[in-house]
Order: sequence, then C-alpha cells, then structure tokens
Amino acid sequence: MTSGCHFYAMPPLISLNAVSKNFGTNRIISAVSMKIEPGCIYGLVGLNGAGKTTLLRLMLGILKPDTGSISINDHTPWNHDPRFYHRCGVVLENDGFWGNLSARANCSIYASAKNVSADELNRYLDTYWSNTELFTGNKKIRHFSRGQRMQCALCRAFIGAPAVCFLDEPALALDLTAYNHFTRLVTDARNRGATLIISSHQLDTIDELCDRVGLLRDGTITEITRNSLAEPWFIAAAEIPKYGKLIADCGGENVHFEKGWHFTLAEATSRIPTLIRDLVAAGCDITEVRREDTGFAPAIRTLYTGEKQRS
Amino acid sequence: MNGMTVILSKEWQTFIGSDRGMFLLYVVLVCSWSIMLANPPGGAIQTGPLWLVFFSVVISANFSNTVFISERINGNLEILLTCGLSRNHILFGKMIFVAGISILIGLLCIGLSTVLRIAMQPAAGTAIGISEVLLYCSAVVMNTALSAWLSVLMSNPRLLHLANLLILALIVTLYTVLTAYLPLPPAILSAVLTLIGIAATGAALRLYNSENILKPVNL
Repeated sequence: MTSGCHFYAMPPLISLNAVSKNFGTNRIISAVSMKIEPGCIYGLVGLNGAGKTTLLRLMLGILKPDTGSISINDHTPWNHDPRFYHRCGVVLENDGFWGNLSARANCSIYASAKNVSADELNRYLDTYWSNTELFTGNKKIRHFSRGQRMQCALCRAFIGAPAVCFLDEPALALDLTAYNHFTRLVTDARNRGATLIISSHQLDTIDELCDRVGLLRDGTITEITRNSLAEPWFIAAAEIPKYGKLIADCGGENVHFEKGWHFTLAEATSRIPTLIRDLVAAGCDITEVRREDTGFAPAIRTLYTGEKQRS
Repeated sequence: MNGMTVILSKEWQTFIGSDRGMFLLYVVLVCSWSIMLANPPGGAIQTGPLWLVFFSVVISANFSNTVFISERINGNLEILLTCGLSRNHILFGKMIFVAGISILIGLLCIGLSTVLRIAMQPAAGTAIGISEVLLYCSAVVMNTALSAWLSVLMSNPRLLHLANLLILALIVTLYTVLTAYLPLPPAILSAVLTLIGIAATGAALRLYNSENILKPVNL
C-alpha cells in the first residue's frame, strides 16, 4: 500500500520549528522540529506518556507552545482561525459524541460547524458509509459499542474532505471489516493530496499506512523513513563462521545463525548481489535468499527496546 | 453568527434528546414552584421575591450541568474547539441557551402561578411584578455566567453549583441586611447580579481563549 513519501520536493504543509511544551516543571516536548509535505501519511509513535497527544494538541491549537512556532496550511493553530479548522479532520482521545443523539445527528452538527452542506454530507455518507447501519435509524450513539463509536469518529473526521487529518489511535477497537474501511478512507484521502498524522501504538497500522514515522521519546522526535531502514535478510546456508564473517564484511549487522543466516543490511539492493557472489566464491551452497519482515515495525521495536532498557 | 446558531441548535437537540425522566423532573419542578409562588399572603408557605433568586440557581444549575460541565468532562468541548467554531461563539451560544431556557421555564412558572393565584383568590391579584421578573432574569444571567467561568476555573467543576449558591447567598444576605437600614428596591439587587454576570462573562471569555479550557479535571 505504501509507496514511500514522494513529495519531498514540495513545500511542507505542516512545519514545526523548535517547539517546546512544559507542564509545570515537566518538559513534555523539547525543541521538536519537523516538516511534513502534502500527501504524506506521518506516523507518530512513542511509549505511553511520551507526549504524542500533547504534540497533536499543539498542532491543533488546543495547547500553546512555550517556545517555537507551528505552521499548518499557512495558519498558526494557536490563532484559532475557524478557516484552519474547516480544513482539518480529527480523531481525539475522547470521541466527544453527544450520547443522546444519533450518529447522523452528531455528524450533521459537526458538518454545520465546518460549513459543509447537508447535500455534501449526504453524498459523503452515501459514498463511504452506506454499507453500515450506523448512520441510519435513530439509535442513540451512547448505545453503540466502542468499535462502532470509533467508526463514527472516523466518519466525522473525514467530513468535508479535510486537507489535514490528526488521528489519535484511529484503529482502536476496529474489527477487520472496519479496519479495511479505515485504510480505504486513509488511502483515498492521501490520493486526493491530504496529509495525515496518525498517532498509534498499533505498529501494524503504522507499518501499513505511513510513509514516514516519528518516534517521540524524551520530548524529541527521532524520524524514521523507509529508505533509512536497514532491511532484515535471511540466507539459508551452512553454519560455517567464515560465511558470517563475509556477511559482516559486506556491511551486514546483527549477524546470527538460526536455521540459516539472519542479518540486517542497509543499501541492500546494491549489496545483496555482491554478498551472494562472495559467498558462492567462498564455496557456500545457498538454498534460499529472502528479505524478512520489512517496514517500520522492526525498527520501532528496536528503538522501543532501547528506550525500555534505558528507563 | 453561524457559529452561535450551530451551538444553539446542538444544545436544543441534546436537550430534547434527553431521557423522559428529565422532562418529568421539569414538570414536577414547574408545578411545585408555581404552586409555591401562587401561595397568597398569610398562606402556609411564605414566599417573596428573593425566592426567585434561589429558584434561578436550581434551574440554571441543571442546564449548566450538561452544557458546561459534562461537555468538558466527556471531551465534547475538545471536538467543538476543533470543528471550526469560534471560541467566543461556543461560549456565547452555550450561555444564551442556558440563560434562555432557564428564563423560559421561570416565566412559565410565573405565568402558571399567576393563573393559579387568580383562580384561588381573585381579589389577591398577581404575586409577581415586573421587578421580580427582572430579578429572576438577572439572577439567571449571573448564575449562567458564573457557571461558564467556574466550570473551567475549578479543577472539580461539579462543585461549581455549591460555589454559585454561596456567592448568591452572600449577595442576597448583604442585600437583606442593607435593606433593614436603607430603602433598596429589588432593581438594585438586579443591577448588582447583572454586573457580576457581565464580569463573570468576561472572565469566562478569557478562559475559553486560553489553554486552561482543557486543563485536567479532578472529580
């Protein structure tokens, strides 16, 4: 699904410049700078309490940065310009639905606030949500399950085709069908040029959807792009130490043997052919070469592990 | 202006979507209050214009609970803040709804009490005059504004009704004591309540435009 963020040449839609935020004496966000281009899906990950929600709230203008500046779609969020919010979609920690109203009534109120006409709302609901019964009937939203409420929150977030979406744990409690629908919404939004920031602990979601990932820890962001990742590889060959040394000499890291040689390799596209030639020349009988689990998840897990060990 | 219309419409929809028990409570409240107000002089229950001030707390507190407190606790307010409505429109929309519906219920009670009183004792005339109505309205304005302000200011907003009641009791006690020495008409009390309401509105406006609007709530 992801093809890598190919919008690097475009001016950033979201720009954070040395943003810091303290709560009392606790520094939550420390001089974070980041730029996100239009059409990019940016994953925000971090351990509990790392400051993901705070960063989203800063970008939404709910919190004011202590230092630094934020620019989103040429707006400073803290100025609370309604035009800024009209082009934003949000899924927040609390879904914020009025429980004694139906899902449709909740969405209608939200649409009115965003200056989205009733016709436009109906078209959107017919296009994306006609396969569910969430928006038909008068069932009050307080009787919905957690997953159904999340679907309603997603529906609300994409009303009016927003240019920027801030999604805090958007895949929480979704069943498989709802999750697939969510990925469709995200993909369609990206295809029309929207920028999405997805904060999640579900690394599979981040892996599947995001072009870039920012890991928030100690108040700072460590950015991971697909291109920057060392890929995990597997070569099925005999357990002879000189083969391991050859892999390491070729740039392989974390080399170990477990029913074959496992290692990570940066710039694998150019290095793998050389490595295979070297191994064959050394008399190695190779029965299988494959790239193992790819994507952000292994790298994030490694960084998480480092985080846990440090703390 | 559109922002306030959205808020008023939203508040009305959530109000009429309330449980039947809530409406039953209002019916009981309106009936019992009307009967109390209709009580003729020398009757079993002694009522006076100051009762109106305390009735206003009961009515406006009930609406403030859902409009100001629950919305902040449940996260509805955060959604409202990010959907493109001006913060001033959100505040004023909510205040107009609470004050408007509280005044409407108050007027309904006053009207009903007048009918009851005339029916029971035609010679007694009406119990409530314009100055009493104004007193009730000004008390509603003050309670609404204080609720808007204190719901953000207090870390436990559920205590705001107690705070409202204490402030009101202080003002009314002061007024009662002063009237023993000075001829102070109820209009003075109305003016004081309205002025406090205006000051609280200004304070609420400042809080709504600060990041304190979503500071953590301790319940």
